[in-house]
Amino acid sequence: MRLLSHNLLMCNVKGCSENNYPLRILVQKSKIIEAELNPDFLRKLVTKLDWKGLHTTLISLDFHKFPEQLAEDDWKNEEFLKELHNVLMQTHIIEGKLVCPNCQREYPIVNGIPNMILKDSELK
Amino acid sequence: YQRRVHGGLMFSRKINKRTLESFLQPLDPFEDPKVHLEQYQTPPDIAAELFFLVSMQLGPEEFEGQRVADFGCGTGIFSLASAALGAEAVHAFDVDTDCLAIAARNVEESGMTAVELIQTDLLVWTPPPSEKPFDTVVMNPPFGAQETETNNGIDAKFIEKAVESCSGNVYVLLNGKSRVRIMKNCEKKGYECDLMVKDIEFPVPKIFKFHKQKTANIKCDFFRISDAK
Repeated sequence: MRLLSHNLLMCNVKGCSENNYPLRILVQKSKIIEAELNPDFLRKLVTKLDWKGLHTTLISLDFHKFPEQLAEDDWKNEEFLKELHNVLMQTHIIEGKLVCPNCQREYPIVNGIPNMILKDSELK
Repeated sequence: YQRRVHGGLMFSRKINKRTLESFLQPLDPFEDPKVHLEQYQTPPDIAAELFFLVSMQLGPEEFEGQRVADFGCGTGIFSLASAALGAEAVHAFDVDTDCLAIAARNVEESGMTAVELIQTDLLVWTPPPSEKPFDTVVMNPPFGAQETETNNGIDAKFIEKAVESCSGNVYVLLNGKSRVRIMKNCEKKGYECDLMVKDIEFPVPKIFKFHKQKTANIKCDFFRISDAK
């Protein structure tokens, strides 16, 4: 699971409707798999995302080099593009957990696949 | 002519239905298909035909460089076809651990790093609060083809979820028996609904003791659906 997928996931436990996105990430095992950099795709992707949420996630994962707010100039910066590409598209979380900041429900990541399946008692 | 694009293969501009089919052919199928989840193996030739058709009619940009979702990915056939046609990212969703393991193997062996797997119940999953994440959605949702299984309109719910999360087109392969109900549903919701191919023969195993044949062909329809608003 890359951060590319992480931004699609929120906590859907019954009653958990605030502060349930983005999920906190606990990384136990990760690896880098190289992928070709596509600046247009990256830009399109990021404009659709909540950058503030992503930025918070990046800080929590110890990626401190990213600005709190994006500016037009950032997209012309090669270093920025490469770093962003690395964290969004190349970093694969193989084992870990996604944790809801609101209800603390843990979702396991096993073999790179996040498991979001809820128990019957957790469903609305 | 093939060009390696981040571990995957990208086909030349002259997309060939046969090359797409031969790419999908060796993928691992379901090992022990679960009837209650309606896990029917999509034949590679049908998948190739449909994806090729979309490419030809709507353009390669339906997949090339796009962010695609596969709702109910099974063993990953639709996801891998999307990746083969140049999708930059494919999010493959399914509820079943076993078929996701097979999909993971297929992704690994075909080298299509664009494909990511997510285990979730699509009836529970909700798209994130910001803009619609996907450019294109492809799906082959549960058919409602076994007589003792009630479909409960899962196909319509998958379609609604897809349109909610997709800024472009949603491509769905459905049981032909659902045609009228789905078209009515689209009209009610204000969706654009285009029946691209009718009466595709899809092999489905029959589970009842009194049925003579082991498999039957279900006539299926292939739709393009989008939010007209």
